[in-house]
Amino acid sequence: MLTDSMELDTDDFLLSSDGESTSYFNDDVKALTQSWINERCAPEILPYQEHLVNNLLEMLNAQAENVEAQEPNTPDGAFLLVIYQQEMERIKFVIRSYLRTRLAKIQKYTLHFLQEEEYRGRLSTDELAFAEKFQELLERHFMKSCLEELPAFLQRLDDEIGDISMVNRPELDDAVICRVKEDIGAFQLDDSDETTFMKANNVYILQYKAIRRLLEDNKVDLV
Amino acid sequence: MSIYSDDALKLVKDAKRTAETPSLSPYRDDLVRNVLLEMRHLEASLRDILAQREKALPEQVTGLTAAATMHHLALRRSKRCLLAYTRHRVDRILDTLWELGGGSGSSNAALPADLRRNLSSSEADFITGYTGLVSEYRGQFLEVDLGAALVPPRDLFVEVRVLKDCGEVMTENGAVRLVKNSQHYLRRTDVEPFITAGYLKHIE
Repeated sequence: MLTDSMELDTDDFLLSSDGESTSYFNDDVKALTQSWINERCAPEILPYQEHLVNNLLEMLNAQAENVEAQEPNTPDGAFLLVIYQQEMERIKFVIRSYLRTRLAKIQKYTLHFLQEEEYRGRLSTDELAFAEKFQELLERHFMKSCLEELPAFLQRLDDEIGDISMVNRPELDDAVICRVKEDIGAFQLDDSDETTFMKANNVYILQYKAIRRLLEDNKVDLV
Repeated sequence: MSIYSDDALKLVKDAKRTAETPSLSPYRDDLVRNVLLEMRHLEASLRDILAQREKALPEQVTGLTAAATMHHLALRRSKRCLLAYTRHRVDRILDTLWELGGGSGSSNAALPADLRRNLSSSEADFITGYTGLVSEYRGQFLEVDLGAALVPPRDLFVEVRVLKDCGEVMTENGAVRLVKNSQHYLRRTDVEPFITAGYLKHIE
């Protein structure tokens, strides 16, 4: 449903007269759109696309100035401006949804992300600060709501009883649908002895943990 | 006293029962108090049992160990219920805050009255801290307005009807007077905060 309304192939609409920067802009839009889809489909948080987000924010600002500077005196010119602005709104939406998806995951798995070095590295500086303060707020709230009245041995927020941990973790066993971007060849899925021959453009339904590293190496896209 | 952990279970049931209701249900301070009281009793008897076990005869030890384990598990279960209840409410509060536009710099006063009434004092403090935290993070991305609705934009302009007087509102193309019951065709980004806050209605 989301992708239907998200036609981002708008090369012709860009104001920039400089061909080179135009294509650069569009690559970023495509790349971030895919990162956004990956982020929405993956159960865990993925590395933050700082470069893409910053580039696009910069481009949005430049485009906004561009639009403001135009004073169209023909109906066509005015119409074109509407299209530019519409495109900007769509890009803003992708960035907004991307960042909000990440925030939602951070709020859900705060402690786990903070405890694991790998996840800490995937967060932006701002997200890391957000996670730390959010955890602080949560702990204070739990403390005041009930924990402070309990004996000390019951005040921890990271107990483990048997195999069950109190710390909420992403379900890496979840099924995801992925498209293979390049020929990978025989690929061994985690828990089986069988290998699967993964060819470019094939689509698979697999457990997320099986293709986790492939996603990291940018060899598959989630869909 | 009722059966151990009965009130704790009631808390969890309350959370489940009200999970689908449109607004947050009242904070069950009474139940929380009861559970905490019960846990204090449980802890006291746990200590008694452990003390007895120290000087018990060998044939009594098994029974006392079992009793201690039972008390310990009951304590843990109650703690789990308390935390589940608290966390469940936190999640609902967070959802509501984002629906209202990420608590955009707003204090508790901007929350709908039926929500504010049903909060515990610790929850109210949590919201204050959280809105501060969010507005700090949002400040890094002012251009994209993180609080705006997560719906793909279809039209640049939308037709809106005014439900409550908004007075004069600045838009990109100048000021507009939004008088109750009037209809306007305006830029979506200019009026979205008013739609979220319930002042305007988007007419499809």
